[in-house]
Order: sequence, then C-alpha cells, then structure tokens
Amino acid sequence: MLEVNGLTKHFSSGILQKQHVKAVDGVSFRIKAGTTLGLVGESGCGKTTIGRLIMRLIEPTDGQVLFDDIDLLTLKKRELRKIRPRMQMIFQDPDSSLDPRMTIGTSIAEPLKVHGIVPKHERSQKIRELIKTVGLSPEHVNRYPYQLSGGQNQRVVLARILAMNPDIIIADEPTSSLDVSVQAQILNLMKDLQKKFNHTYLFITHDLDVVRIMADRIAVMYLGKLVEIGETHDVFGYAKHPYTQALLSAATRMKPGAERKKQTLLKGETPGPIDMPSGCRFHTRCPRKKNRCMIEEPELVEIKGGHHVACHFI
Amino acid sequence: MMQHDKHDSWVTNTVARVRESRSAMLGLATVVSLVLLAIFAPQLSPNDPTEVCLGDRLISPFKESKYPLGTDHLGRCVLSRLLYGARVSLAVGITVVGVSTAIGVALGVVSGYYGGILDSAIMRLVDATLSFPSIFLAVVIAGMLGRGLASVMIALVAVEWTSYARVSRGSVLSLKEKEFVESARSLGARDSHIMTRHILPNIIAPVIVVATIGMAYVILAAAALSFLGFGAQPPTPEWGAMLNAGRVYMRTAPYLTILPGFAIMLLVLAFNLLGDGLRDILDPRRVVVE
Repeated sequence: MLEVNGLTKHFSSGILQKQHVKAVDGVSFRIKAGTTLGLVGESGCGKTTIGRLIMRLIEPTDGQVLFDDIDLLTLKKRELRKIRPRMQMIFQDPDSSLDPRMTIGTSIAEPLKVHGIVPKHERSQKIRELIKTVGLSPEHVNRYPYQLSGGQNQRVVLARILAMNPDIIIADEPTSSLDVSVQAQILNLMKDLQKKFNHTYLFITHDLDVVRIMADRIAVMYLGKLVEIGETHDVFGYAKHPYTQALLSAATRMKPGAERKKQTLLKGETPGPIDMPSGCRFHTRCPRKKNRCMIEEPELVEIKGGHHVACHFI
Repeated sequence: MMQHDKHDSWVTNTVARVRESRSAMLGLATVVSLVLLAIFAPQLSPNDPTEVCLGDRLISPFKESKYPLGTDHLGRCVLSRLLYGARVSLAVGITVVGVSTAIGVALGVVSGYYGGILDSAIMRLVDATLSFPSIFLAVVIAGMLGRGLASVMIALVAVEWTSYARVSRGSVLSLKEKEFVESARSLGARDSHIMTRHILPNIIAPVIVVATIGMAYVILAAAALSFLGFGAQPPTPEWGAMLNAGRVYMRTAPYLTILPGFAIMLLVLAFNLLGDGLRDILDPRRVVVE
C-alpha cells in the first residue's frame, strides 16, 4: 500500500564549508492498507521530516515512496497535484493549520473547490455533513479559527481532510499541543474514522502511550535511521534494541499493584546529526557498546515474523 | 477567549481598535474631511480657481467677502485654488500609491513565494532603486520624462513600489512556513490559488500600513516636485506650485506661501497620524500570528 524505500534527506548548510545534516538516512518501511504505523523517536530524530518527504512538501535527496505502485518522488508537478487528495497530512499545531482569514466553512470547502469534488449547490450540504462527522455543530461554519479551541480546530482539520476522502493520512503529532482530555477525544475520533473509511495512518509522535493505543505496528527512529520496527505488541513487550528498551523504560507508567521495574537510563546527550558517530549511531550512549559498534553500522535484521532490529548484539 | 459573534472578523476588530486610538481617529477624521472638501470643491469654491482678474491682485485674506482667503498675484481666488489643489494632491497620492501597491505587492509576493534567482533579481532591483535618495531619483526620472503631473506620477511609482515589494516579500517569507500554507499545498492547490487566497489576505494588514504612510510621502514628494517646477504646470491649482509662485511675494503677501504650506502639512500629517495608528493596531507581527 504505502512503501518507503531508502528514503534519504540531507540538508546542507554553509557556503564555503558545506556541512551535511543527515536528517533522514535510508529509511524503509511498509504500511498495509487500513492499518497504522506509529513512528516514534525523540525530537530532532527526523520523524517529521519523513512525513514531509512522503507528502513531498520537501524534496528528498534519495529514495522511493511507492503508493499503490506509483513512485511519488518521480511525479511531475501536475501529476502530483492530482494524486495529492489521496494522501493528506495533519500538522502538529491545529491553530496554525487553518488560514486565520478564512471561516471554518470556507476552509472545509477549499478542497471541494480546488478539486471540484462536489457540485456547487451541494457544497453547503456536504460541509454540514463533514462537520457532523467530526463532531462539531453547523453553527461553527461561520466562525474563525481563533474563535475555536485547539481541539475544535483539529476537528476542522480532520473535516477538511475527509472532504478529499484520502487513503493515507500522515498525522504529525496531531495531539501533542492539546490537553490530555481533548487528546483522547481526537484520538478516538481518528480511530473511529479509520474504521469507517479504512484509512491508512502514519502516526508520528514522541508519546509512547498515544502510539500504543493507535498503532498496529511501530517503528522506532534514532538520528535519522530506524533502529527497530515490528508489531506494537512485539515492540512494547519484547523490545530488542537497547534504545527502544531505554525509551520504554523511561516512559513506562506505574500501574496500581504492578512491580516497579528497574529503569535503564541513557547517559549523555544525543549527538548532533552533523558530526554523526561512526558505526552504530547509538554507540555513544549504548549500555551494550563493544568495539565493533564503533566501526560497523548494523542493518535491520528480522528476528521474528515482521520484527526487525538494527543491533549487532541481539 | 471565545467570542461567538459570527460577524466578528479582523475587519470589525480593526475598526473597533481604530476608534479607540486617538491619533488614528484624528488622522482619519482629517483625511476624511479633506477628501470631502476635495470632492465637493466645485460646490464649495466661491470662484473659478483659474480665473485671472488682474484688478483684484494680491488681496489679503478676510478683506473682501468675494475672496475669503484673498487672491494671488494674478488675482485668482486662493480658497478656490486650495480646494481644487486638494483634488490634485489626493488624486496623485491615490494613483501613485495604488499603482505602486499593485506592482510592489505582486512582485514581492512572487519573489518571496518562489525564492531563488527570481527573488534575487527582484530584490537587487529594489536595492538598486533604494541606493539613490528617492526624491533625487524622482527628480531625475521626472526630468527625463518632461514636465507635467503624469511624469511626476511615473517617477514616484518608480521609487515607491520598492517599499511594497519589500514589505510583502518579508511577510510572505514568514507565511510560507505556516502550516496552513503547507496544508493548502498538500491538498493539491495551485501556486496561484495559494498566493491569492492564502497569502494575499494575510499580508493586507502590513501593506495597508505602508500604503497609508506612503500616501503622506507621495503627496509631499509630488508637492516638492511641483514646487521645483516638474509637476503641475500653470494654471493647474497645485499646492506645491502655489507655494513656489507665492515665494516671490513672501514679504508682502506671506499668506500665499503660508496657506498652501499649511494645507500640505495638514494632509501629510493626517496620513502620518493615521498610518502610525494603524501600524500600532495592525502590527505585522501580531497580525500574522493571530
């Protein structure tokens, strides 16, 4: 359905001494139609860049994005514009995702107009339908984004996206700027919509609790590379990569009555993506580091059906 | 803050805030009254502004009821000439600012949106224009084009468009990164759609501020050029030209320079007050963020 192969993005800066930042470095994964892949990692690891690369909001350095066997990265501008409605993105900040000068109704009508999806006289009917689907009321149509709360605005964003009836939705931290209670509402809404419309989600987040609820599969990213990918159950229950293990132990919340596990805390800072460590990128902070890690970069290896890990010592 | 008034938009918001700002209101009131005086000049003028009456030369103001503000060296009614002069100044201001805004905003938006070589080319042109003192450049251009109001207007547009290009380009650069613009791109909208529907409405506020202050500058510059003899030619009643003609009689008939000078000052000051007030109200940073 959606297949990403060797996706790479290097940003270069400086005029005389070019410095290359490897924001995304050879990332590959596949998402089956109607399922959710959760992409997790700390901030700055390149997860947002991946979302934007797939959407072609920025141009990749190398790689392939296959969407129903169409390579998105080779499409010309016009072809790309035609296929765009089929894949949509939800951004982190709902308040700036909507044009402040447009009413909610105009914003939702925009995709309908741009693509001529619904004839003019049926538009207001369609808008009312969409607004209901995302749990807002028709009276919101004439309001402006600044008159709505963040949660309501994110619903408007969803309505706008639903207007295009997309196959794939890339959600880039869609709830991280919302209150916890509102977060739950939006996440539930997204799950309901997925069931109803068979959406494929790429869910980008740093919040492990959120991803555990939302995702069928999880990919863990560190400094522009995937270190582990597998079923949610496998990754949470049987994490193999030391980075995933550290991430999970840092986030695990105590349940009443549960035994308190010993935390594996990472030492040191994340190295900057400019002076990337040699060999395994994680070796500067890895508790299992051996000499080999500093020289040889580990590849993703399948350890169990669909569970891949990039570490020399599993 | 949630306001559930469906008519509440940024326009009504702005109007409400203009009302609160004393200097903006004062500027606005003055501008409006001067515009009204200009519009109704034919009805308000006691005499034909170009009618020469050598028998009534250099009558001081408040002396004769036929000439409330006196007459000039050719016996023309000063009040009528001032009223008609407002028409000329405002017409020049509106035309120059209108054309400059259209050119400047179009180039600025395209420049900021596409970036790259196009952006560099347009911005270097702006820099080159700005590297000359603007009034000097206008004098040179007006001199090349010959006398007359039309050449003054062309000269002023050639200088003025740069401010609009700069301001709109700057606003576009920050808007371009906004998520709603990316969202419009990802829904498959054309660049032209994004620029006219999303970018333009969001840069209007700073452009209005620049245009208001630009009006003051253009009116002053047009008067200056007319004073220097480039702009309005006799017998057109124009404040700058009146000032120049009255210069010779400064000792015997000071009102011939004081009155048009005061008129210029009043109009320019009014636009400046309004522009400054609007700048505070429509602060570009605040407007884009809101």
